[in-house]
Amino acid sequence: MRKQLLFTVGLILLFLVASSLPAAEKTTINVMVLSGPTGLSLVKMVEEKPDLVPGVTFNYTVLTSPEQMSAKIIAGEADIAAVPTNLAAILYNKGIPIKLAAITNWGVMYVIGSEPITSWSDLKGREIGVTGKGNTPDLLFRYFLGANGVDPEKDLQIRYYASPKELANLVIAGKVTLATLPEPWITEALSRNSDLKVLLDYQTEWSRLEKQKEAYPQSALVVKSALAAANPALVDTFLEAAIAANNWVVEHPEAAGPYAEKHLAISAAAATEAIPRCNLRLVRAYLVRSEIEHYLEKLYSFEPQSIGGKLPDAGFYLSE
Amino acid sequence: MPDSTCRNRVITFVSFLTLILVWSGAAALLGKEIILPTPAATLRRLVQLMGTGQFWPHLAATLSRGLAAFALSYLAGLSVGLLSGINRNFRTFFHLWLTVIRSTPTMSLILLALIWFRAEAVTLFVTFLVVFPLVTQNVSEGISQINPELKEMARLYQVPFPAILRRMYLPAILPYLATGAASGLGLTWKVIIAAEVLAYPRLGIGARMDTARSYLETAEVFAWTVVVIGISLFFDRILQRLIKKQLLYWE
Amino acid sequence: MPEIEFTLEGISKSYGDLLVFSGLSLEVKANRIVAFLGPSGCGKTTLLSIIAGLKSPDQGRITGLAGKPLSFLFQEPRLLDWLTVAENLAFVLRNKIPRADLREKIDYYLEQMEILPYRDTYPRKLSGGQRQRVAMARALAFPSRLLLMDEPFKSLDLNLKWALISRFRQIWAAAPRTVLLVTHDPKEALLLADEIYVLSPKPAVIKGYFEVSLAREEREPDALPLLRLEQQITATLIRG
Repeated sequence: MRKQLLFTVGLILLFLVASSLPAAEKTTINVMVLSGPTGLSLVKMVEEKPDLVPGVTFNYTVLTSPEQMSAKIIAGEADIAAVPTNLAAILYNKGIPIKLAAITNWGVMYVIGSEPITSWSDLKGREIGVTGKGNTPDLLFRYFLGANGVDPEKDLQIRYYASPKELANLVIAGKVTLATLPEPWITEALSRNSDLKVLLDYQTEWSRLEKQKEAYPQSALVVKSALAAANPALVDTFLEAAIAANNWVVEHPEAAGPYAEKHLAISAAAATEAIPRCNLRLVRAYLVRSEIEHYLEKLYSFEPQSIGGKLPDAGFYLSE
Repeated sequence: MPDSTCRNRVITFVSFLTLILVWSGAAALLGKEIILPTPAATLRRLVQLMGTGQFWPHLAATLSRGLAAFALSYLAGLSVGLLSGINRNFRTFFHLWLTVIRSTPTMSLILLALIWFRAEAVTLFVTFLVVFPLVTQNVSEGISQINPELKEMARLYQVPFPAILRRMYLPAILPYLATGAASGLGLTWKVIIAAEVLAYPRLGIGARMDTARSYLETAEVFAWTVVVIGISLFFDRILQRLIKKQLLYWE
Repeated sequence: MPEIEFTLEGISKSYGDLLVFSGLSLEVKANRIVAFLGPSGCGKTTLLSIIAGLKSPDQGRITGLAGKPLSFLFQEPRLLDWLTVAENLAFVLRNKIPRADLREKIDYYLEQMEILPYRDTYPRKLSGGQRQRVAMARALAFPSRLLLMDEPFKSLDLNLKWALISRFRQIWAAAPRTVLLVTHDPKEALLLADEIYVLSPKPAVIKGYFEVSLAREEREPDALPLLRLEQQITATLIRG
């Protein structure tokens, strides 16, 4: 009995050692993206897994929730990850060794619904579904309301939902008649319920209020600090490829659609239609540092905890 | 007797100290506040929270929500428990319902409630369905524990039902009512937090915990957890004292 | 000639295959103490249950009982632990006698049973004998024509039993009523009853009938006429 047990344990150990050996010889880079719009920028790379650097394997993983992503980053399992920009700031401020490498999209949030709304102040007295209480979609929404003379606490009813997917389905079913949603759920909802219209645009409202040329840098790519320090060339190569891949998606929405359907849980048609509304523009972070800081400062003024309690220092940004 | 209570106190204190030490040790070993904050960091965060204007409204919201849901469940549980304790047909009728409700995972209740209701109603509904069967079971068990000879005596002496209810059933089940209240209220806090986390009411400890989690403010999640444990212990103490002092006066 | 309290005619009762009575008939006169004596399991308690209306007979007729309030004394005191002695009495009396008389009546019977000092005590604090006195006070205080007693002295030791029996006799003498006593002990029956039915078990049939003519107040446990009767009764029981 005991011998058998010992044998089994021995076998398992041997197996573990054996399976980890080849990995030690070859470098593996784990790239993690989220399903949904943040994944769109890199969808071509997820599909094609190009050989960027000899001897280095890039593993692509698509995760479904920011929580999963945080866990992977904190555990150090993700070498390169696509995350909401404010989450990157939180992680950095909490002492997780990561660097902000690039911004991938510039806002994908819209107000959608079947009610006659043409301006933010029209939302007065309405009831609206919002996801991610306390997170960027919610914070910006409240900011825009306030800036348009609508008190988010008193002048309208905000109902919170756990995920955009859930809220989108309620909107499609007509159970919720006003909602803030990100792409590609906007497109998904539009295609499945013809009563719905895109009513308001977070991005143009941000530019108008903040007098900025660009909209807000909603999502980003982060790189593990150790990787950036040890192998800057590799990171650089990856970023170049990512910029190219992103540009390809923007220029070929039709071709990118099926990739999105395969990897990101969005239908091909919806992805194709959504891509122009996703404001995909992959830019290295140091080039747009002032826009990023402006955005983070604004979030800080709404809720300091939403960027981890303080503005990240210069070490946050991956340098040239 | 005083010797053993004294010793128990010492042991409890040592136990508490060990808990704190193990916690501190694990936190120090991990060295990541984002995963496991130290007891000191948790306490600091708690004190800091109490200083903000947000703390008390959240606490009050959860407290009042919990107590209201509990009161509702308790009254319903008491009525149904009495009915099914007194009448065999009622018991058989409700047995199936209660079994189904009790066997339903709390998460299923929350998920369904999220589909059906709004945030406030979700917490009430879920707490009700979790606590109500517990109280019902306690009450009907209490009544079935009443000596059948006493029931027969009351019947033979033609004691009218209201008097039987007031002077026989209720006093007899008082200990069961109290333990039902203690375990029911304990459960209420757990369930209400879970429901709040998922239903996001505008105010509520659970909703606040979820926001803290999304900001990776683990210390705040811990601090709120300490608050909930405190609430739970506070009410448990009150009820235990009540049970000891008031309920078994005839012993 | 004393009036008739109630009659049983041709009572039969069985539980499944077990026949408990078959065609039992008897007549109980008012204000008499009637004992049913027999070994345990002979259906004495079933008989009381039928008279009390807790069980109905399979066959036969009962006359003279309908609507009559009954008092009971059981082997166990059957008191509510969470009510004081006085409250236990009030529990059954409250609806039966005027509210104004309640306290006086309770105190009277507690006094008679020599437990008045314990009127505000909870039953758990009393001894077994004291509790049975409370139960007896309750049975006697309850306004009824008929008192049913099911082995009321069984769990008491000899001294207590004798003390309680003589107490009971005095109170009964002050206000007689019809009493049915079920017991397995010939001595209890002889000390209390005017008439004794000896029953044999399965199915219960009346094996013997005895009248006790000795005046109740002269019945001591060692009175010679009683001892002679006890021999006869025991013989009847054993022959059965």
